[in-house]
Amino acid sequence: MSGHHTFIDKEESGNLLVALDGRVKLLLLVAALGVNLSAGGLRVPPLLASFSLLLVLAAGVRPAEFARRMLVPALLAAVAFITQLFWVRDGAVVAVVPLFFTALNVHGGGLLRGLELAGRILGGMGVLLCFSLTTPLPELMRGARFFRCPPVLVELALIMYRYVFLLMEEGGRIRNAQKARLGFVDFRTGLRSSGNLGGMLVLRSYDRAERSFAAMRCRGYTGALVALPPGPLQRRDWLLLLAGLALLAGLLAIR
Amino acid sequence: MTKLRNFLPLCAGLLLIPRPAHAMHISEGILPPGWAIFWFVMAAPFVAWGVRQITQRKQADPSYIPLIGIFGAAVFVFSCFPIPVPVAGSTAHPAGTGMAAIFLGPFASVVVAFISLLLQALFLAHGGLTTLGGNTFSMGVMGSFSGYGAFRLGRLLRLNLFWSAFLAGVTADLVTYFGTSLEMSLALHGTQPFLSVLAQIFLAFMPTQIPLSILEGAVTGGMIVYVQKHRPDILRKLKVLGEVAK
Repeated sequence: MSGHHTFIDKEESGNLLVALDGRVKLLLLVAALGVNLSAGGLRVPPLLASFSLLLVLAAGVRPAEFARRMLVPALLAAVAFITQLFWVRDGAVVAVVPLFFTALNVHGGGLLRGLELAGRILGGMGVLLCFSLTTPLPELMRGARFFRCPPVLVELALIMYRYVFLLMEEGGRIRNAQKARLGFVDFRTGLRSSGNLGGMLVLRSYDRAERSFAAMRCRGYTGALVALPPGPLQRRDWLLLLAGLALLAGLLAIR
Repeated sequence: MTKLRNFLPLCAGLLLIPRPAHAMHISEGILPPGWAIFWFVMAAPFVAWGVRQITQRKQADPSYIPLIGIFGAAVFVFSCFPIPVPVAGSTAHPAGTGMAAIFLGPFASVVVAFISLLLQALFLAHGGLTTLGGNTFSMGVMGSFSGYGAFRLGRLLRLNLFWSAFLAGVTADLVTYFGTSLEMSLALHGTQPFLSVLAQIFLAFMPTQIPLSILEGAVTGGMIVYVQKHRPDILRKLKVLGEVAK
């Protein structure tokens, strides 16, 4: 299994940030991403990324974990920055960069737009990571239900999320067994093994779906997953929601 | 100036490092607000129609929800497994929309893609939330419908199951990347002509995407043939073979 696909999920923690109501976190997430996109300039996105880092550290996540997760967004931000140097030719030329057999004129507008774009990517991904490192999916889904998300989407998301881990393990076992039997010894065999792996996953998923449905029927499933509706927000949730919104409004004001 | 001179070739060099394909998903923050909203509006009717279709089928057959959920998870998992890419000397990941569309139909596949993208954005930090509409449109809508259309066309042309699925895998992959290129070029073309930037982005994807799409096609074909060989009843129940089935 590729190490690039490690799920982030905090199921249990006594930390205040992790224990905060999912609805509040969802609202703050949407507001923060909105501010990140609409603020413009070079101040707000780095500040959002820095706040996210501080919150994640306060939630007990190791800085190295956050940094590792930010590597791919940082690479994408670098690529986005470079593209804007080529594609935006507004303003005066601020630098001339020799590039192979030609030269790239870096315009002020391109430099600014590139930095803005890179900042937005880092700010947005920082906020997203802060949310994902402190929120379990069931909590998010309770919030989604509260905000009238179609029940079919919530049910499917919960079932998919539940089975992704299980099937990842199963797929990993099949792949290891294939490897042990020289299933990836050359390219052609590897390709055939990949097809067989996909086919086996389909067969096992189908059988598992039938067994799960039987088990769900035994537990009273009649076409809808029943869950306790989220209770009223506690005082600390309101306080943190207001504090978060005030902070975001402040960021928007200083852009 | 000197620092910039050193920095740019370094960044350009980063582009050449072989790595798993994350480019399929537009990252959080890339699309400006206007375009982010536009792609949400474009994707919403397809997701809504898919949800409606699934709800109707669920009322007729309550086992449909666990089936589609677990199938969606399987496609999600399969899209996370690396396939060896001989050209780049590395591995890449299939998109999975072609196979999802073949098994579940295009609208249900859009819904599965939407949920997969949401899970990937929130729990794998691939893609993003404000770009969810754009990613759903390119991968879910364009990928699913083109893959499903290619599969049906292959069946109509009396191609065998492997080649029909191969066609679906290749088409879904390439069309998904075309969709991603279109969305990125519309948002980022700056002062350059849009078509020129679209061509640049799409061509930049091609050296890795053409071999990857062929691999994805081969794997999709191999997968469906495996299912037909061992459990043809699944293909019948999911109506994969349609009316021209043999």
